Amino acid sequence: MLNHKKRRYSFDNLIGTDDVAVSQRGEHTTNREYHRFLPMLAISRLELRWETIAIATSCDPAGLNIHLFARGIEPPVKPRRAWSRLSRRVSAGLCLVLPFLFVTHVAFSQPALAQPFPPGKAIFEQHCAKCHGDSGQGISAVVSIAGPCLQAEHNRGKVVAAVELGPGHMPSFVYTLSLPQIHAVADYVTHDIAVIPLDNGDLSEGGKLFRRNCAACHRTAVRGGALAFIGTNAPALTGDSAAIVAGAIRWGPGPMPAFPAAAISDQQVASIVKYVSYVQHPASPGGSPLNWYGPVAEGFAAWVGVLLLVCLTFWIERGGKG
Amino acid sequence: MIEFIARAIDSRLHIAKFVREALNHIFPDHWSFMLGEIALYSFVILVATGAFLALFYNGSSAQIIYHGSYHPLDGVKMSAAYRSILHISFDVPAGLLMRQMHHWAADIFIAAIVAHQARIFFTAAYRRPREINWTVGMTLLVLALVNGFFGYSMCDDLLSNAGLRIGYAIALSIPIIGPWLSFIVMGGTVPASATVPRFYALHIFVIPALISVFIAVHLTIVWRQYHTNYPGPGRTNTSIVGSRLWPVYTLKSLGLFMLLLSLIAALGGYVQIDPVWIYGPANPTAILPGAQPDWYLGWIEGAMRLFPGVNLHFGRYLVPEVFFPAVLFPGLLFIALYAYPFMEEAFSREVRAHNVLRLPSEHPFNTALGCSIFAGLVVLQFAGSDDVISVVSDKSVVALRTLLRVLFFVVPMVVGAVAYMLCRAVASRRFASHTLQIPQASGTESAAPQPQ
Amino acid sequence: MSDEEKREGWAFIAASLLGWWSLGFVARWFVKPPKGISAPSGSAGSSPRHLRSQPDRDADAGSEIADHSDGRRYDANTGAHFPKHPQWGTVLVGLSLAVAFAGGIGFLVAYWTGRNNMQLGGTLALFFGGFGFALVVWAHSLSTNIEETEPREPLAAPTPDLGPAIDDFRRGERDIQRRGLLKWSAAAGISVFAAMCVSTLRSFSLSPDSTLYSTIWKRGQRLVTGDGKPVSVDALQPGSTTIVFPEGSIGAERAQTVLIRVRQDLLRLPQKREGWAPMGNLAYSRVCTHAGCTVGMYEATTHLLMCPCHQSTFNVLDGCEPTGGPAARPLPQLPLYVDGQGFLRAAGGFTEPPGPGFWGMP
Repeated sequence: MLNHKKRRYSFDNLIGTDDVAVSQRGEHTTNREYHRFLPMLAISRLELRWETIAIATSCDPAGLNIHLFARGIEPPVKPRRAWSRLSRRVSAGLCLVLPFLFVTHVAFSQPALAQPFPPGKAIFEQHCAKCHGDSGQGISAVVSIAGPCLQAEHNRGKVVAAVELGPGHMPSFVYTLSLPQIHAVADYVTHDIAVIPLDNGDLSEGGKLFRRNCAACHRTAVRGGALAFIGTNAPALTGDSAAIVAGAIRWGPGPMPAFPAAAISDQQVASIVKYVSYVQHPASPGGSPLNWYGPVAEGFAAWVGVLLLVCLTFWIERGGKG
Repeated sequence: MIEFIARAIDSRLHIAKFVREALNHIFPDHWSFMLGEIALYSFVILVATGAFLALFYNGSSAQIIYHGSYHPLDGVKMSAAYRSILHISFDVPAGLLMRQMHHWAADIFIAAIVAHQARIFFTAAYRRPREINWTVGMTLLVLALVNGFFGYSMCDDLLSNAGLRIGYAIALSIPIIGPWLSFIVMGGTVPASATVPRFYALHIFVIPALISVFIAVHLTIVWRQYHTNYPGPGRTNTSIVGSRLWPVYTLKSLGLFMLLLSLIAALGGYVQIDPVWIYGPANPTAILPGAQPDWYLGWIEGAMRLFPGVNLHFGRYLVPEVFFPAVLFPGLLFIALYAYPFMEEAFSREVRAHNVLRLPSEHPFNTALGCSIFAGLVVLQFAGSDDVISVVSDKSVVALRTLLRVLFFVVPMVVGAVAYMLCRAVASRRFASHTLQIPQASGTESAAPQPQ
Repeated sequence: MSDEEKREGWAFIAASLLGWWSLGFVARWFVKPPKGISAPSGSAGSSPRHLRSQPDRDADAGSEIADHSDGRRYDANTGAHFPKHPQWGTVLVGLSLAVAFAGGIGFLVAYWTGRNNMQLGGTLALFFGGFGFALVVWAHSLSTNIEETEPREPLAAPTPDLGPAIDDFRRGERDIQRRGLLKWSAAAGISVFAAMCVSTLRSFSLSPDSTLYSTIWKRGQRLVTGDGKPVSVDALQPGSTTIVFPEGSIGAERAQTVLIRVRQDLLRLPQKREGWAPMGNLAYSRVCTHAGCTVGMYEATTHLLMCPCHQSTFNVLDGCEPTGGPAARPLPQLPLYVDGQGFLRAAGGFTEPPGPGFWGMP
C-alpha cells in the first residue's frame, strides 16, 4: 500500500541524482509509490538537462549531432575553406530537404493518403494515447497508467526529445518510430493536442478561478499548504513554469484531483496560469512579506517587537543609575 | 507665561493642589512596571491611526465590481468594505502605512496586555487591595481580544472571512442560546450583509469606548492605591519608593511612548501585515489553508484543531464538538483567571493589604501554575499554526497533530514541575545567603548607596 | 538609478545635513547641565514631605553633595543620583534630536514626493526613535534621579467615614421602604424596562429556525458549475472534481456542493444510499460540519476531503464520515440521478442541514 515516506510533489525537488540512480538500479519496478512520480520526473528532467538538446533537435532535423551535444562534445570543426563551405552548404541543404522529401514520400506513398488528418494523429493514437489520453489530457494515477497532460505542451523540441529519450518510465520510441514519424507526432502534439493557450489569459479572472478551485490547497499566494494523509503537502508553485501548471490542472499529479474541461475550460486554465505566474513574484508594497506565511509569522514578529520593547524598558529603567 | 496660564486656570478651577500632588506622585521604577504603559500607549496609537482609517473605510457589504488601481483584482466582485481597504492601501497617501501601523499596534497592544497580566500574576500583584484592578485588567484583555477579531474581520477578505465563519460556528455551538446569539451578532447565517456594518460600529465605537472607560478606571485605581514595590530594603507595606512623576518619570515614560511609536512605524513600514489583496475578497465558496487568526486567538484555534471529534447528544439536542474547545475551555480559563485572586485569598485566609510584591520564587505553586498555563497556551498556539509548521518543516500535519495532542498534556506538567523546583532552589539559596551573611543581607542595588 | 532619483537623493542628504547642523545648534542652546546639583536653598515650607518641591527637599536635606568612589555624584541625604557625564548626555540628546529632525524632514520629503511605504515608515521610525532616545537620555544623563520614599495609606480596613455614610444611606432607604406598594410598582416598572431592552435584541435578527434547518436542494434541480453549465454524468473522469450549485442559485454559501467522480468499484456507501452516486459521481456539501469553513481540498489518491481550517478529513467513499481531525459529523450527501439528457440532477435535499452543528440540529 501507500508508502508514507515524505516525498514532496514539487517538481524542482525531484530533479537530482536520485531519480537517475533509482532507475539505473531498476528499483522503480518494485517501488510502486515511486512509479507515480516518474512522469513528473520526466518533465522536470527534460526541462533542465535536455534543453540544449531540444534546441539542437529543432534546428537539426537529421538529429545527427544530438548525442554529441548530449555528452557535451562539440562536433569537430573543420578548417574553413571555400570548397568546404560550399560542400557544407550543400550538405546542410540536403539535410534540410531530404528528410522532408522522405517524410512526404512516406506519407504520400501510403494508401491512407486520402485520410483527412495528419499522420501524427494516427501515431499518437497508436503509441501515446494509452498513457496520455485520447486528447492528451493526461491519465491520472488514480485511474490506471499515469501519463501527464500534453495539452499545454507547446515546446516541440521537448516533445521530440521526450519521444526519443523516454524520460522516467516512459519508454523510448527511437526503435519504434522513425525520425519522420517522431517529428510528425511532435507536430501533432504541439499543433493539435496543445490546445491550452498559455499567453492570453486574464489575470483577475485567473485569480477568481484560482481562489475558487486551487487556493484551498496551494494558498492564494501559491506557497503551498498542508494535506492530510498522503504524507505530502500541496507544493508551492513558485518555481513552476506555465506549461507545468496548466498540465497539472488537467492531469492531477499525485493526490491532486484532475480538473477536466467540464470544470475549467482551456481559456480559464490560461487565466489561472497567468495568475500563478503573477503571484509567484507578487508586489509586496507593505515591506517584507514574511515569506507570505500570514498571521503566524505576523504574531511572531509582534512578539519579537514586544521582546525588543522589554529590552528597551530595561535600559530605560537601569540606564540612569550608573 | 506658565504662571499666567496657571493663574488663569487655577483662579477658575482651584486645581493647583491636585496638580502639585500629581507632579509629585511617586511611581516606582522597574522595567516590568512599564509593560502596562506599553499597552496604554499602543492603545493611543490605535486610536490615532484608527481615526485616520475610519475616515476612509466604508463599512458596507454592498457588492460592487472593482475597477481600481490594483490590477490583479480588476473586474472582481467584492464588498464595498474590501474595496475601501484596497483604496486605503494603494491610493491614499500613507494609507498603507497607517493601516499596517494600526494592525501592528493591535498585535503589540494585546501582547503587552498579556505580558502585563503575566507580570502581575507572577509577582502576586493581584492581592488585596488590587484584586479589583486585576478584574479590570482581565476585562480589558477580553475587550481587546474581541475588538481585534472585529477589526480584522472588517477587511472582509478571504482570510478574515474564514475567521468570521469559524466565529459564527463557535457562537452557534453554544447550547440553547447559540442559534439566537449567533444570529443576533451576525445578522443571519454567516455571509450576512449585516455583519460588516455591525462589526464596524462595534469596532470603532462601542468597544473602544468601553476600553477607554476601563482604562480610565484602571489608571484611577492605580493612582489611588499607588503602585506596588518589589521587595527590598526600605520597602514596606506602608511606604512607596520611586521617582516623582515630574520630570524624570514623565521623560522616561514619554521616551518609551516615542520608542514604541518608532518600533510600530518601523514595523508598519518594513514588515507587511495582512496583505488582503493577495487573499482576495471574501467569498463563501473559496478558502485557503494557513487560515489562522491573529496571534491572540491562535490558542483557541489550536484547541479547536486538537480537540477530537466528539459531540454530545441529549435526546434530540446536540452539543457540537466546537463548543468544548472554543467556548467551554476559554470560558473556564478566563473564569479561573478572574477568580484567581479571590480564590487565593479564600484559601490562604489572608485579608491583609499587600503593597510589596512577592518574587516568583517566593510562591512556587503560583509560579508553577502560571508557567504551566503559559506552556499549555504556547502548545495550543503551535497547534493553531500546525499547517504552517507542516509546510515549513515538511512534516505530515496529522503526525504533528498527534504529537501536539501529547505535548499539550506533557509540556505544561514538565514546565510546571521544573518551575516549581527552580523556585525552591532559588528560595533555599536565598535563605542560605540571608542566614549566613546577615551583615550584607540587604540588597544594595535598590537602596541608596552609602558612602564607603 | 535615474538622474531624477539621484537629484532627489542629494536633496535629501542636504536637507538632512542642514537639519542636523541647525538642531545641534539649537540643542546646544537649550540643553544645559541640570541646575539641581547645587540648588540654592529655598524657604523650607511646612507642607508634608511628599508635596515639597525639589529646592525644598534639597534644603531640607542640607544638600551634602559628595563624590562616590566611582566618580558619580550623589546627595548623601536624599539619595539623589546626579548624572556622571552631563556633557556626554548633552551631546547624545542633541545628536538624537538632530536624527529625529532629519527623519521628520525625510518623512515630509517622502510624503510629498509620493514615496513608498518603506520610506515613509522608515523616516517616521527615525523621527520617533530619535525623539524617544533623546527623552530617555535626557532623563538619564541630564536630570537628577532621586529614589524617594513616602508613606502611604494601607487601604486595608474601612475608613471611619464608612459608618456615617451607611447611616446616611439607611436614612434615605427608610423613607423609600415606608412606601411598600410604590416601591414594588417601581420595581415592576424597572423589570418591564429590562424586558423591553432584551426584546429589542430581536431587531438584530429574525428567528434563526427558517434558514438553519433547510437542506437547500430540491428534487429535480440540475447541478450546474460556477459558470452555469449543467454537468453531464461523464463530464468528470474518475479522480477529478468540480464545484456545483443548484441551478439558479450560483454562489450560494449553504448550497455549495462538491462533485467528485471516483471509480465505481471503490464505493462503500451505506445500504440505503445505493444508487445515489450514478457512475461514481458523488455530491457532498462543501460546508464543513465542524466550524463552517469550505471543505476545499480533495486528495484524489486517498479519496479524502479535507478542510483547510482545522484539518478535518472525510472519506468520500463511505458517505463522508469523518476519518480524522476535529469534525464529528459527516458531510451531508446529496442524492443524484441522471436525467434523460445525461445531466446530473438532485434526487432530494442534503441528508441533513449543511454547516456547523447547533443545539436542536436534527
